[in-house]
Amino acid sequence: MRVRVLPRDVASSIITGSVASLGWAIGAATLVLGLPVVLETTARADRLSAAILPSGLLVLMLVCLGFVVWRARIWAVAAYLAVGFVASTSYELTLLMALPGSIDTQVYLLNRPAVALVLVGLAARSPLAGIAWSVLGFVVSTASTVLVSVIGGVPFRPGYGPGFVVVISLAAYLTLWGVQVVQRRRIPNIEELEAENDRLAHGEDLARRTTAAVHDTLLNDLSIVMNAPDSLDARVRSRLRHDLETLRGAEWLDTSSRLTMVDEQDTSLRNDIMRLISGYQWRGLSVHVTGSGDGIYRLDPAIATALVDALGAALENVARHSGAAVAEVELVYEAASITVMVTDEGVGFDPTQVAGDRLGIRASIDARIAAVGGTVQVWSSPGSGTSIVMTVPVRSILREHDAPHHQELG
Amino acid sequence: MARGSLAVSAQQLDPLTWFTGRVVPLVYAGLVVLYGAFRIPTWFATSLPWLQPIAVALCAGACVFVYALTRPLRPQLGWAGAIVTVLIAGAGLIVSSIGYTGVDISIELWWAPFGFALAIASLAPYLSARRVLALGGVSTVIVTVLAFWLVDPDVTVWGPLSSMVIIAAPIVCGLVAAVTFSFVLVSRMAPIIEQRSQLVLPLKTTDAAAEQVERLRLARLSGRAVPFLVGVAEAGRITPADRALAGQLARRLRDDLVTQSNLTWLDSIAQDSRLVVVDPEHRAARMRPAQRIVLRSLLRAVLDTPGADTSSLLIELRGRPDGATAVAVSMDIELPEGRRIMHLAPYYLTLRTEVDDLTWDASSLSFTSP
Repeated sequence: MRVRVLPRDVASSIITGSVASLGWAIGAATLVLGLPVVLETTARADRLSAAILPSGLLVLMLVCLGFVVWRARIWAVAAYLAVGFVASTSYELTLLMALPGSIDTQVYLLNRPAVALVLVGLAARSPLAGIAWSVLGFVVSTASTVLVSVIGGVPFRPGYGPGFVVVISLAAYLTLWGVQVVQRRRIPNIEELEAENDRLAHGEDLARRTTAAVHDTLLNDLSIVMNAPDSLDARVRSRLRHDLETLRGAEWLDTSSRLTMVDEQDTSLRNDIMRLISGYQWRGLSVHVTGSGDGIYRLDPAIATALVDALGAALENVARHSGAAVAEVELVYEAASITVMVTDEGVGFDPTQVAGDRLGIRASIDARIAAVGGTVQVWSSPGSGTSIVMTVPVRSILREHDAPHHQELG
Repeated sequence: MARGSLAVSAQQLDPLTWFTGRVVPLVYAGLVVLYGAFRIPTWFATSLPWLQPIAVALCAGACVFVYALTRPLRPQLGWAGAIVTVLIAGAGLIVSSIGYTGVDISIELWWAPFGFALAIASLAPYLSARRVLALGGVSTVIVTVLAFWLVDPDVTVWGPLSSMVIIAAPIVCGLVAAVTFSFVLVSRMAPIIEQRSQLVLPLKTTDAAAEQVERLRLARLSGRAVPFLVGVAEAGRITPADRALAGQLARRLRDDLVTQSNLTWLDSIAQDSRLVVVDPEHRAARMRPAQRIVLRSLLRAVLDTPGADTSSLLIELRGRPDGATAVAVSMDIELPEGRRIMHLAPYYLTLRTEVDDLTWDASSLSFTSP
């Protein structure tokens, strides 16, 4: 699982976008709150009918703002500025015709659309872009007021609103920019840490493979030498050579050349298991297999290798420590997993009393299966045998394994 | 999703940004002071001119209060802190209203509603949109009505409805901005963080250097046993000396393998530093990759802290009855508290996203790995 903290560039982009988004909200609030002021001011001057067009223009700008929020594209913002320029100019001219004195005392009433025009940071994804859009909005807003001044023959009085809003916007974006600069200096680079963790996990995985392989080959072979008769038979000598060859090649460390062999009749896993079991039968351990069938369950190569190796380690434990001459291997097929259960009726042991220096289960079974996303459960007690249940995930099922006939009948 | 986005604050979701972004309330405080100063000429048109600087100080102080409440090691800003903030700013607005009572001012240029709005907006990163809306909504209605009652009788340019709207407009805009910001940010960021935290890091499939290191380790492990076994396999006979040597080699090999097998990722850090690891139950191996990453980054930051006694760094992991792992980290650091916090807080905040019950005092830190 990855760290629940976003990389700084992603977080910065989202925050800048959120700051820009609040621009439309303030713009919309400004336009909505302008409506009652227009209505009451014209009504007090007995010119309520003159409020129809300005009110309609405020509503038009609101609709345009909604469209910009919906589309959220640069061309939509540009179109909003163009329509807003015309609407703002018409709004001011209409009100000036109805309320000529408003240019002196009620600029607040006149510049509502002009204020909303400055709040166009919606398309910004970086503080610099936000500043650019705010300045562009301010320029368009000012141009509208200049045009009103020229057409209406009135003094140029934009009021404090547009200038105030652009100053606030610049302050907000510059603060954001400063915060992002500080972040890049102080905040841990999560991506780099994850990459480092990835490398270390890879190293741990390789170390685990080596430990398991050395345990299953060299350590077991040394044990054979300690306990074997004076003269080694051909089968034991062959096993020693095979183990030494396994170590010499160390192919289990080569993670780059692993190939996934896929075909409809892929039986490599079954063959590997049968070969393994055959080897133990040569060593005097009878292995009974149940649950195999005609289903085709595809496992990732790493999982298949881990399963075969862990099964080998489990059978090795039976052969060396249980005192039993027979081991049962049962395969259980489920929708998302395969379970392999190894059971013997040997001397058993107390799992809670296993010495810390015993690696037969911990390194060769548990760690192997856990490393590929599987689980291992061990049931045993002195005098009543041992059961080891290993479950690994299945990648895909080409053909379901037929249920046993007694289940169908039952 | 929308309801969830209303219930979480931007800081809860992304504490790192708002650690470095703590300066935002201070910027707001500066804007309040600037705007108040811009209207100084109107102060002297009143009979009580000293009320306006007090009001400016109260509104700016509310923003500074938010700044103080959101220091890195403090708990999340809750209702109490937010209400006090709003009360301070509201007091500023009312004091300013009292100062302007009896004076025909341009209410559209009145600085106090703007100051109150900025105090509300300064809460946006630290409170959920729902809380900002509830607190801001109620306070907006109350302070607007009070300010209108105090100031409107002297306003001649605007009608009562317009006066009310003009007084309320900056506050409503600040409230809308705060709610929109919190909601939009959380609704955009939360799904990305959720997807990211669900994503399993692909294990690096090729790393020739690591494989080479491991091959060297294998050669070292098997250096004595392999030639011996080759000889035994070739000879086909075992002598008593062979059995004795096999036993000796097996014991050494087992020791090496057990040592390697007991090493956790924490021990690998300890090998490169003077970190002392107490982990008798091998609990480190149970930590999730994300937890390992954030803890490793914190330990690395601690080890890089100037003035730190790296030999005193100790980390202890213990199992708990519920299956979780309790982790304690302690160390002697001579650095002043302020600098220590600024240096380690980003790592502490990152760690907080992945563990439970995180506490940090002068020299120790503890948490639970669920």
